[in-house]
Amino acid sequence: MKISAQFLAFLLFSNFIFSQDVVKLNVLYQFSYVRDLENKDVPYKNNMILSIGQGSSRYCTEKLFNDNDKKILEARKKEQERLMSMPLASIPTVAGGPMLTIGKSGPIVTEEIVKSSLSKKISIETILGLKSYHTETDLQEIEWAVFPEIKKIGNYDCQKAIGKFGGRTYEAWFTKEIPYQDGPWKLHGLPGLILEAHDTANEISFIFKEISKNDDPNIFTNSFFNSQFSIATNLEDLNIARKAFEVDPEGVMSAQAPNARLYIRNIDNPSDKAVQKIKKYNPMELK
Amino acid sequence: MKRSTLIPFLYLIATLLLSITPLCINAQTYSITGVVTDSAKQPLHGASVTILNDRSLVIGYTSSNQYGNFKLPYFNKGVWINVSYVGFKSQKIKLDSSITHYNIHLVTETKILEDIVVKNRPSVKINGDTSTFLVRNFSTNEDRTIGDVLKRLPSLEIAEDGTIYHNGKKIENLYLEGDDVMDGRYGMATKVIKKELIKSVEIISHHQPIKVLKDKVFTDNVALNLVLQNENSLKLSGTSQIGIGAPNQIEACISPIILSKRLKLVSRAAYNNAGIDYSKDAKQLGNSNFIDNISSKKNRIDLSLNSVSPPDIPLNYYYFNKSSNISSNIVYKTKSDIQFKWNVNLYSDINRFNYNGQTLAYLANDTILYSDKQLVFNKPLVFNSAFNLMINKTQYFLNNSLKLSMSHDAYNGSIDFNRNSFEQLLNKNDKQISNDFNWMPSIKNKGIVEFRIYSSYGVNDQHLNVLKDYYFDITPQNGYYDTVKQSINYPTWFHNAYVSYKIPSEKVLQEYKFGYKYLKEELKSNLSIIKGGNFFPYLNDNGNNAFFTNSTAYFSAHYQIKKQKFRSDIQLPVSLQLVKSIQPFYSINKLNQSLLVLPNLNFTYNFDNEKYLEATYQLQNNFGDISSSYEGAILLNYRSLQSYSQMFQQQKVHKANLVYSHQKSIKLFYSNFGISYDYTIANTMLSDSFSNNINNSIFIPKPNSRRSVLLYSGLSQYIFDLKAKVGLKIQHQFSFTEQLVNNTLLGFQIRNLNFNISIDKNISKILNLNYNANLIWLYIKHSNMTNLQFPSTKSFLFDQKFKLSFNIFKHYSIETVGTHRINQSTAFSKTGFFFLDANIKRLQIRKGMDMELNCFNLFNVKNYSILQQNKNIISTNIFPTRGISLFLKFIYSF
Repeated sequence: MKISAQFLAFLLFSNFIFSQDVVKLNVLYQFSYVRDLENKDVPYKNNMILSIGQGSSRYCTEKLFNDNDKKILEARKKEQERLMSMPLASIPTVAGGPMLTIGKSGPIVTEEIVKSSLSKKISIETILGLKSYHTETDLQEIEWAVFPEIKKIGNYDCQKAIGKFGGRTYEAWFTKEIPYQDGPWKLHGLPGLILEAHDTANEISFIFKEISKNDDPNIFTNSFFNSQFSIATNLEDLNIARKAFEVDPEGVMSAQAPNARLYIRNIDNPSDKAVQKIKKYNPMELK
Repeated sequence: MKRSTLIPFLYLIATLLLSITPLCINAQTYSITGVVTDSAKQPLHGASVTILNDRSLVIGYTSSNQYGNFKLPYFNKGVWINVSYVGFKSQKIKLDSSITHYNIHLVTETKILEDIVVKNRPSVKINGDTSTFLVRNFSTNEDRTIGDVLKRLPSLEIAEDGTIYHNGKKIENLYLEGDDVMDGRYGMATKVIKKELIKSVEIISHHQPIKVLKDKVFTDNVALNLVLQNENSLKLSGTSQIGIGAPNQIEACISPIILSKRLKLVSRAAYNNAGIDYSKDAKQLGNSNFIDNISSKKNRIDLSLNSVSPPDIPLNYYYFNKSSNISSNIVYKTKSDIQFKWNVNLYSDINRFNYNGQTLAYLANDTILYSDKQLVFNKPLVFNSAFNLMINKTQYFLNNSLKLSMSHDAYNGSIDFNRNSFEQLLNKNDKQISNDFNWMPSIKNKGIVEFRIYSSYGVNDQHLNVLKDYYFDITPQNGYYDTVKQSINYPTWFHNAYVSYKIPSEKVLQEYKFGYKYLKEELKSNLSIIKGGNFFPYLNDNGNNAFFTNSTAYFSAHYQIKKQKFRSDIQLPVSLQLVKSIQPFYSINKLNQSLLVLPNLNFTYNFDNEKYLEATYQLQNNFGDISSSYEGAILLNYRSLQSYSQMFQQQKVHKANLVYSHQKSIKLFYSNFGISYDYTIANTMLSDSFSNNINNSIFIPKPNSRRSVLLYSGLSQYIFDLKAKVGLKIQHQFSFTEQLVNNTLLGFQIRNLNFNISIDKNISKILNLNYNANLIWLYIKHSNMTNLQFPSTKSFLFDQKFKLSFNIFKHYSIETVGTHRINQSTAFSKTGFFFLDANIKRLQIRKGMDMELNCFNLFNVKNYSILQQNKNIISTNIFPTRGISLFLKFIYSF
């Protein structure tokens, strides 16, 4: 009896390890980041989605989330059928070129962070230009100090906490009404979900926008990436490459794909193909 | 101070004091422990354990470990201990100072996170594979044509040649309300269709247009569809363009258009003498037929007036033209979705081509110099027409396209050749008709069956007249004549039919094809000499009256296998070939039957994502056709006479290639190293005889081989500190080949060393620099098979190119391109040039009108020279270029 119970526990636990962890909640944050200290008025902005399961979570850009949405994948299949009524064209595949997505503050970085609170691991997947890189490290504990201040965010009573991470001091607001010890980006470890956080210099902020429940038992907190096609690296090298890409995205991409024609897509203003240059780079993690 | 204001003030101070001091610093040394379990007494890992104060605020917290245990320091102000875990009911227990260990059992809660209100789903837009952009939302007042609007759409880009890219990937085709009106040549359509005619642009991903292939073949293709504003309107619209330039340049163009649901017409009439090449607009950008081209690759016998190849610089530098073009594309669709399409294109031109060259032919004990200076006028007239019928239904797919093309090309030239001046005339007529039928029935299982029948007939007629004062240097008829006349007539029939069966699968793709090909060619040629009104036949042979057929039955199996780190592509075609050559003039009646197995293998092994090794092997067995088996000599141009021996030309080629690619992409370093080896065994050898005025080449039966080894490497590094990319390519080729030169067997060792350096740097937001330099050394040495004194030749080329682009003002764009080259060889003096161009665009000068200013060749370089080296021949040619020119263009749409 005891053995079988242990076995069941093992199964449950192994589920967490292999990330077959069903998504319970999707939380949308607006991420704002002063990437260029010379241009503080136009911070880098992106919508990020934190998908939380029992023992792990996935944090990624809204676009990546939407691109992998099950409903979209299904709709794509249906659309395929409708397209059959289109006229004849060619099957031969054509060579593609690299695309660089930019916004008014510079290049958009596609990023995904999977945190496992049980195995205490964090894995980061980042697309820089044409290549996707991954790195896995131990989940760094954050020493939070809780304060008695409260405020309402959405419909939730949140309490203030202050903690240090990556050379910055963050003020975070968590709610114990949602008892996940998780939060946006690499922030975690409070006795409730972090709904809002910003650093004391006001250069980085995560603002709660929406929350929704997921009822589909077949959606997991797994990484959207296939690590087979991604390049393993370490955090230090990744940060160097990330800086190079954010500062000179065109240069990095043409280094990655010599002779390929680079295509620039500006999501804020499609007709403007000029990339905003970063003059004084402000890394998210100062150390 | 009134009491009523004092209380909130004190309250504020108290709050501030509390805020400054984190609550947990009240922690004492002794602690609270406990274990969290579920109702089955199994430990719960990761439950939140918090200590709450009287206001239910968290003052201390931890989480349970894998055994369900937790440990918290004691808090003075702690009133409650709260344990929560998703999927379980939270437990809030009052702290008792006498208890230090708490056993907490959580009860499952069926309604998990019931209190979480679904406020708003993350904004997911479900639109499947089609993105629709309304033209009015994306266009601005400056936009004229739909091409201008397409440039503004996120994810789309239009290249200079008109090719559209979606997210950097070339689109498969551009449709107008679902119809491929332009037959894949959509470049013109984007330039002439004005934006008002189009309501929206649809970008369709994973485009699989053939209904029969539904759920069978998944594609990654992206297609663009332009949805009409008013599909029932038969109104005529279009654009017009006028350009004037100095010196004496003009361009005019008008494009009428009708777009409706059933009938679509896109047409254009244009004229220019400004070096604009209309054949560029007729470029195939999309694919007109969804299957690969199966017409035969023809080696043509081509008579010409000159012996030089065109310069390797853009055509507009040296193109002295007067071109006109009329093209029309019509599509009509019936109610039952049967589509008829008719594309017609008429092109005529008068152009002039001018060169001044010197050629040195090194012989065993001699060197011959040919000097040529010629002015050629060329008047081509080309007519192309295609008629297409298509039925695309779920039961079957049927496509039939009938193509007809006719061309007439007249040349006349006046030449100074080896100090002899004479005139030349050349007329070429070509007619081609072909029909391609394709049928794909729908079948129940996974496979795909395809039937295809292709037939073509063409006839080519060429007449070369080399007139008075030309010295005909062939014994025994050496001398000056009134006319030396070469004519050829060259009809060809070709049929190809096959049945194929394909089984798509993710891991192993199989394709089997069974077919039959038949090629029939005839060649009639005659070389004659006229003097004083009398015809003299060429004495060395009787000309040609040759028949050639090649019938081949083929079966091919094609497999693609993917297995983890290993990928392979294996093609195993087996064919039975019957070649027949009949040349009654020379009593030749030959037959050759052979079974050919020509494998094409490719294996790739990925060590990891950054390293792979690829090996390729290919065996080719090339049998010549009539163009390489004629016995009677043909005067290809005033300087060369060519014939073949009594033999089927056959070349067996082994090609092997090995590449290793290594990247360190996080450091932005990329490299590849490769070696390729070609080994050719041929049954005929080229025998060149050079005399003072002519080169007579004959392919004689003599087995020989050619070898070539190529070593190559490419390195690229992004320099983080300079924010610049530097690329370096090195290539070294060594080849060996043999041929007869004036009856002496010579072996040639050819060495070629090539360096390429490129630098890409973004100087600022508005300025971008691109620099590319090429260094080439070519060294040809005679391998010492006899004791002859034979000179070695060397040449050197240095080529650099830079491009600077500025985007200064909103409506202006400026681009500067410079090309610099130095050419040097053992035989000729150093040559070089520097071209500089600038292009300025100004949008929206008046409503509906744009302006563009092009400045070509700002340094007014008048000549371009090219140096070519090949075995024992080295030559230099000088071409006059269009001098400095300014061209102003106005574009207006109606």
